[in-house]
Amino acid sequence: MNRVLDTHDGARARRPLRRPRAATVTKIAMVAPAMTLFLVFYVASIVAGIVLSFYHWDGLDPIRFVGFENYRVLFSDPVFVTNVKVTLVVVGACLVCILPLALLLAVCLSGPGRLLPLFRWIVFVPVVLPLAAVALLWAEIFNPVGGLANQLVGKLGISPVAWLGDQRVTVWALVLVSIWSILGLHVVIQLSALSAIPTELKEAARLETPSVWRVFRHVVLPLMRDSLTVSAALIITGTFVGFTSLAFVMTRGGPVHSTEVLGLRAYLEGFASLNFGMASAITVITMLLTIVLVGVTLFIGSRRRIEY
Amino acid sequence: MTTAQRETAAASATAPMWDERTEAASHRRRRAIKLLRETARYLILAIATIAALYPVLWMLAVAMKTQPEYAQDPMGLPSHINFDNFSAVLSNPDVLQYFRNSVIVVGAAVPIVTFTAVLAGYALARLWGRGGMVILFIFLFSELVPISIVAIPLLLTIKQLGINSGILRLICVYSVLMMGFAVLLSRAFFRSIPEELREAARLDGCSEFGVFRRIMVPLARSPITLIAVISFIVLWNELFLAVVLLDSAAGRTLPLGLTEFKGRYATNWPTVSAALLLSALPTLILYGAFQGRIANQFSRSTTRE
Repeated sequence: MNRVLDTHDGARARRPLRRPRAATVTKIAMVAPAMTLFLVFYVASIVAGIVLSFYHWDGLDPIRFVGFENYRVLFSDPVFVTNVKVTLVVVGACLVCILPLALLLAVCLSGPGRLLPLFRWIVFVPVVLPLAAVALLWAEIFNPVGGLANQLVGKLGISPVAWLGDQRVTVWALVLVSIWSILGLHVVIQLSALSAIPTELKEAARLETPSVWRVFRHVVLPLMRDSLTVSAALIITGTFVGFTSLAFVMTRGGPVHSTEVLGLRAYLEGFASLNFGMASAITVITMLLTIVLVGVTLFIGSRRRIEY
Repeated sequence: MTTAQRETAAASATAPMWDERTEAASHRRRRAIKLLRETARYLILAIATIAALYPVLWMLAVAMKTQPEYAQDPMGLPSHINFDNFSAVLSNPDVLQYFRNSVIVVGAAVPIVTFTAVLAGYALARLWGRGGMVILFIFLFSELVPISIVAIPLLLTIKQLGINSGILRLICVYSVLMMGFAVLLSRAFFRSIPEELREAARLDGCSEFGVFRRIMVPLARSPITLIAVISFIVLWNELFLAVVLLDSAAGRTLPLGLTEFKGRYATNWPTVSAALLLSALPTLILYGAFQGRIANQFSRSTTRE
């Protein structure tokens, strides 16, 4: 009892020295394990990446400071320009396809229908499959000889396509796989945002206009702004990582660099060319690009926010 | 409101009701539209189902075929159920080694990330106040720039630290990969628990850590389970970091091993697809068991804050 009173008054009048210090120790100790792991592996790698991007290092010869040389070489390298373009095209295509599709499916999946929980389960299945399995599965589907894709287009009377061997087609084939593997996640994000909209709001709007489309366009859609922004940000960061894995397994960046996104280029620069300074410079550019793209997304998403 | 206005308003409000035929027609029309809408809805869902499941079911069908049978008819159903491909995969010593490595790596990383993240999440939610924003920002930043993006500098850092065991490398990095997500999710949960609970326990003489251990952890059982399950699914499937960080053959996890396996059995797709299905089994089972909650939390964790 004594102690209780002590704490209570102490906090107000003369702060006893032992208490706050114990609290400080506790709060630091509780964050310390997570923070240590984070500093040692994540923050250190970012710093290492930034520092190394100004050096030339092949892992064997002594490391040599070269200033902005790595960046200069990169920006005058036409292949690197292609890498950036491919990355932006892939991110853009994923955004343009996934957001409307996810919204459409979420609208179809919302509501009290008895079969809908089953469908909600199904759309998420591709998301939990290992990406390596997804990549190998689709590589076989796109197999030019006897693969499912060519059998399908064959039935439509189109001659066989070299899905993973034609530099105009391959990137789109991989975008398709990318969408297939991640769409379910975004459907669920949109669905949970849709179900958070109060029904009264929609009913009130329905009294104003009989058009379901107009209710959706002017009442529901503005309220989905946050969830769409989150989806868009996740698509951007997810594509940077996920597409790299897909391309690594399915094409190794080929044919003719047409699927070589930035992540893959950094990998090839590090492992095939043993040029770690250059790989670090690519990593830094990738980081900046992600930050800018997500930043723009969040900025667009936070403008003209509506609250009811 | 003038009388004239009131009259027109009343007229327009009651006009449809006067004519019962119009009323019935519009009722019929509304029902037709609703029917049309429901048809469209289920049509779209049917297409989505085929798109999502057909490749998976096809893989299952192929896994039960023999190689010649597949070459002859890749699309049809297998002539009879046969699990030879599955048993071939399960008796392959390499695959078993990949499986063992995956179990060790994920089995260590999931408890590490869950434990450290829940601790940090609680401290950030309740003990740090404004000062915690800086720390929180670092975790948020990792959601923006995932550790996979800095894979190459990460490899160099790890070499500098002298961590040579592939398994140990992955355990450390996988814990960090899920850390941002897990900290943000548990912080959001602890913020939703009333502050009074903690204050009451503190007044009863419970230490700050005691509050966490005796009151908060038991309350947080469901977010803790979710962090563990989602981390398991993501890490079990992780490929790119394993590719970069395992520069020697030792410690290959299942996803990485599969790409090797495929290289060696390039001509025998039925066996490969059996291997792919088996590798996906643990996550599919977990997803089946925690279905709704996982799907929701996957999104909730990111929409919060």
